[in-house]
Formats: sequence, C-alpha cells, structure tokens
Amino acid sequence: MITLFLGVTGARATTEPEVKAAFPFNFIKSIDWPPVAFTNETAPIVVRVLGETPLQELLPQMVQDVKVKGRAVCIQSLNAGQSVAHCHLVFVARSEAAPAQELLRATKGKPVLTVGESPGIHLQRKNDQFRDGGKNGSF
Amino acid sequence: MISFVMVERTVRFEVNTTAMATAGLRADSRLLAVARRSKRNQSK
Repeated sequence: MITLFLGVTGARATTEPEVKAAFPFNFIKSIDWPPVAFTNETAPIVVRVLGETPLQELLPQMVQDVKVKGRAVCIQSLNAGQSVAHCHLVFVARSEAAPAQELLRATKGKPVLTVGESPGIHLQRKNDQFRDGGKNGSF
Repeated sequence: MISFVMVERTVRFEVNTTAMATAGLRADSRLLAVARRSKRNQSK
C-alpha cells in the first residue's frame, strides 16, 4: 500500500522534504471535499503553504500538469493572518506553530484540510481520543 | 487535522478524524489505514 501511494505520485522520494511533499499530494487524492467547497465542477483544488519550507518549491513541481478527480491543483503561499477562503488544504510549516493556532480557529468547521509539519497541529480536545491506526503505515 | 510525526527516523502522520468529519471532509479508508494513529470522539 505504501508503494502504491508513492507510485501514483510518479516521484522517487529520497530526502525528507521530498517525502513530506508527497504526503499533501496523496492527501489531496485521498480526501473528498463537499461540493460546497468548490465554485464549480472544474474549479481547482487550492493548496496554500504557510511558512518557510522546501515544500513551496517541491509541491508545484509535483502537481504540474496533474489533475485530481478532474481538477487542477494550484499551490500558493499563505501569509499569517491571510484569509483561507476558497482554499482546500493548508500546509503549515514547522516554523509557524503560533500562527497555526489562529489558522485552526479560522478553519474550524470549514472544509479546509489542515496539515502540519509539527506534531499537535490537529489539536486535542477533551472528548477526543486516540485509537491505534491498525497498521504501522508510512510513506 | 493531519500532523507529521517522526518515528524512528521515518515520516509518519496522524489524523484527527473528528475534526475532518466536522469540516465535512471524508478520508479514503486507505489513508486512515496507513496513518500512525487516528483520533475520533470518545462519546457516542
């Protein structure tokens, strides 16, 4: 399964940034957004990157000329405090822990997938509980 | 909703399925299967 995920990207990930860049791309392919998240049936999937990370260069290369579920994928940078309207995935670099909390509040309940380079970006709430994922998967 | 974690020098990720469901996002079961761990509400 791990090979399948990487194989679909067409990339041979060797360095840590390359491996991490493969993740958001595979997340895009594995997540279904509700129709309300798009203005029309061919609107692109918009990915925005918050903070300094090699992924800002790697991701555009990875999604160039690629369509996911009939949609192009657009990579943009995001500054702290900037609106995430019309955005489908936000990648938060390790350097942006504090702005990330603001971002999580802004996106709560909205169809915006938040992906953090640092552990804990997904926050834990009182009634939430971890369970084993079942398999020791990794890319 | 998703965080990277380093486990024994390997990049893995964790998924907050509660937050995803609240946002109306649906994850492919294959994604959750390869997650290091996922999280959902204890109640209900």
